[in-house]
Amino acid sequence: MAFKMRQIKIIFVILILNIFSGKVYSQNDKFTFIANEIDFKTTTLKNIKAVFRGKYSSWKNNQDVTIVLPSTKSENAGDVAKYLYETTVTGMQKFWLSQVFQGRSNPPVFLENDSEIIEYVRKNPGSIGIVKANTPNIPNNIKINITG
Amino acid sequence: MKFLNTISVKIWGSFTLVLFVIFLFITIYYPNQQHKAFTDFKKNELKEIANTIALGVELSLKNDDFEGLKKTVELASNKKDFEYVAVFLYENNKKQLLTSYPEINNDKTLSENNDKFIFEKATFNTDNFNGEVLISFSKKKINDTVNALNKPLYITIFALLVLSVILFYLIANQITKPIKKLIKITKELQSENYQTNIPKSYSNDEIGNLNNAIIDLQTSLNESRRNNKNLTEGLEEEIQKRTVELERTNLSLVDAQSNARISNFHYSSQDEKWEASSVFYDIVGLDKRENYPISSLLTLFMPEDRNELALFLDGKDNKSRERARDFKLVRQDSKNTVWIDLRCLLDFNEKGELLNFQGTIQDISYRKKIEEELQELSLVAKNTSNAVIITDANRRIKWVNNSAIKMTGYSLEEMIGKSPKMFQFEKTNPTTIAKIKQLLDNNQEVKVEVLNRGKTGNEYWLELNIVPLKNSNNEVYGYIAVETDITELKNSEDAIRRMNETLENRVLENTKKNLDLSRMIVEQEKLATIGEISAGIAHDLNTPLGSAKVGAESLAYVLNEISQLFPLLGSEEQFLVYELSKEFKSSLLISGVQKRKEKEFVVNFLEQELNYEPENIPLLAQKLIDCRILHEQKDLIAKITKLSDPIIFLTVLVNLQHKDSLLESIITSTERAAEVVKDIRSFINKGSTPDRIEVDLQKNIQVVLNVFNYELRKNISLETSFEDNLKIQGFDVKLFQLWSNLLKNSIEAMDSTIDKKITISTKSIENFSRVEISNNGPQIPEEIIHNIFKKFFSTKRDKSGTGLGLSIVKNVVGEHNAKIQVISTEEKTTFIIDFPRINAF
Repeated sequence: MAFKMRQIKIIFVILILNIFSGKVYSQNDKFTFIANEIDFKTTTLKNIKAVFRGKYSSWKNNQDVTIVLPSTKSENAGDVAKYLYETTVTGMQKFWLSQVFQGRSNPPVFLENDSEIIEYVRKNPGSIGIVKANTPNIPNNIKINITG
Repeated sequence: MKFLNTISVKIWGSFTLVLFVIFLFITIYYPNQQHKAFTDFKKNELKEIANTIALGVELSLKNDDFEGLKKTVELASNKKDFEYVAVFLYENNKKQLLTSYPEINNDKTLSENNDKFIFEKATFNTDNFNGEVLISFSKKKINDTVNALNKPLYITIFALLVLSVILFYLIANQITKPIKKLIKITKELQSENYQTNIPKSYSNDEIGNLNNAIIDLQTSLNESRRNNKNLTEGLEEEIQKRTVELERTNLSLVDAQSNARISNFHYSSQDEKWEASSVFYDIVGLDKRENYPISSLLTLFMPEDRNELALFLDGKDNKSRERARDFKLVRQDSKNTVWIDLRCLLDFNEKGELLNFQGTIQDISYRKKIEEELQELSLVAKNTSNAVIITDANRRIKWVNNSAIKMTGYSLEEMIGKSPKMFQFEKTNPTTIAKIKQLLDNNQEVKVEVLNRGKTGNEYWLELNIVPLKNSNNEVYGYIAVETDITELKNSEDAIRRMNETLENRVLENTKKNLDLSRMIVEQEKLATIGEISAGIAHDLNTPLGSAKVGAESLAYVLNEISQLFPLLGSEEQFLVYELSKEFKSSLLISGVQKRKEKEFVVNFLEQELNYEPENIPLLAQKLIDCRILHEQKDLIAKITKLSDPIIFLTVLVNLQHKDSLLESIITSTERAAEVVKDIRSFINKGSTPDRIEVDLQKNIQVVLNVFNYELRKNISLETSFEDNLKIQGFDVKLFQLWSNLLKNSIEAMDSTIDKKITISTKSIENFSRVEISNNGPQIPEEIIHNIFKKFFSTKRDKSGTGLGLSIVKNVVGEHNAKIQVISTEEKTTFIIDFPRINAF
């Protein structure tokens, strides 16, 4: 709840600068980030990790940031936890428990598989999710290009 | 403090105190209860929130549904009044803070601080997590809440308290107002202002009743005042009257004490204070103005009575407190004795020590005197050989003495109450009886001779004396009769007359015998006097005869020596010694000091000029000195030393010299004996005394020394010191007796002395010629020294003492108008005789 608006604005400017750099890198890694009606389509991994670590609660267009993650029952959960939070699944749960408890972030949405994630992101503006890179049928309009 | 004791304060204060206690109870008890209830409520609420959050956590972790968690946290966060909520995880058996809202970095805040916070917990459990939710609430907030809740109450209570106090004060004042008024009235009544106006109260309460009661009291007091005034006036008169009476009584009492010579007293041992009326000081002869300690008063008692007094004042043995006894005192002024009757009441403490005593002291000297006289008279009356009968005014017998019982033959009981007429009978002369009656009726004394009869019929003649006994009003209250039995007198007057004649004859005869006896006594006294004189004469004769005897004995000794030694001398030496014996005369009257000095010269001469054999010098020198051949006679000494045996020569010479002296002494002694005889003759010839002549003391003493030469030479060292030509006026022969007796006395006194020594000296002192004769015999005891000059006093009764020697000395001294004194010390006894100088004689 105690967001610092000044920090958010600074980060937001950096993101804009990245978008207009014109340098887009294809995601050939294990995971692909997807998002709906957010302010950018291309960003850096660092920025995207910052988003997934609950640094922001709303986008520039005032959409609430809704983070979508594989649930603990998902086979990707361990990888995602390690990839994004550099911890285990329970570590990721503790992280989010603390975040939500203290009101720093909106509560994330945990879904059991990638298709549910894709479906959720597609239907919910402001949401951002992570799926395996090789997941079929990822609509391009929700993909986020990661550069650098 | 006076203010606190007012009724107003008591009423007001009591209510105020009660209200204060009630309000205090409300302000302390109720907030406490509220706090407790509020805390319990808050704890329940916290518990529910904790449970809800724990459930949210548990669900979010189990189902990955963090939306629910968010809602529960929001739900909790809406309850703004909790302090914080925290999530703990149990990991590795440790409780670790995961997160908290609001975020708290200080772990200490999260520790369960029971002083500041209340805590509630709820646990959650999932497959991967175990933990608890802890929610806390600030106690201060509860207190603030309770205080905020009760603040209006406190204000209200305080306002009520103030109002109540004021209200009660006003009520109390209102209640006490009439009481104060009554107090004021009462004080006025107390200050005897009985006329003050007291309005009547129409109230029926207690104060109204009191008001009306005080009005009644005022009426009553006014009445009493009037009565008191009358009474006081009466009392004052009565007191004045009584005071006058008391003063009069007191004066009478003082007079009575003075007349009866009785004094009251009081003594307290605590303050040692003695108080007594003036009569006491008059009795004991002390000055009343002074204070006397009890100890000095006790000395007034006779010393022999003081033990009795101690017993009298003793509190032991549980004796009665009341004491009475007669004591004899000594008046301090005149030192006369005075009898007192001491009566007192004693107070003792538990130990029996005297605390106080008070009582009376009465001078009973006069009574005692009367009693003593009465006792004496009573004794006389009882024991007199005359019969004594006492009757009352009706002439009935009250008392008879033993002689009356013996005379009449009746017992006392038989006579008491009867008339003395019981002793009269037919032979009693009626005229005499009538005379007795007449005299007695006229209150006159009776003196008659009367014939009476006793119980056994014995008749006896009495010389009857009856005296009427009269009191101070001259009224007869009885009679005393003294009866002398004159029966024998009556019956044997002739015999008595004859006896008287015989007695007269006997008296005459005895008188004659007594006259003869008186003459005999005179004769005996004369004889005694003669005997005494004879003893003196015997002694006087004995002295020169003794001297002659001693001289003869000495002469025999000397002649014996001469006869033995004279033949040992050659014919020339015999001639020489004979010549020298005529030329040189030995003398005993040379002092020891002089002799030693002479001997020293002779020794020197023998040693230095003649070179005589040293071992023989002392003996030769002594012999020369004895012969009175001194160192000036150098040629003669030289001649003697050249003789065959100078010692024998000188021994013969000295004996020849002594022979002449002794012969002279014997002649002198016999002449003296003749003189004594002459003296005796003079004495016998009544008053003829020897002539007084001028006597040379040295020569006079020398004669006596010659007589005693033998005694002296034997074992006594004699030292003499004579002043030349010292003469007195005296009786030569009597002085011989004087020296002889003193010398003899000295020799006898030294009987048990080892180194016997006699010193004789004469010298003139002012108007006296003094002779001192000393011996070193034992000291004369002080108790007898004054008796030694008395006639027949002797300490030598068992020896030769007649007790006349020193008595004669005293007489002789007296005849010479001289004085003798004796000084006896342990060292020596000296007789000093001072004769008047010739020119002063």
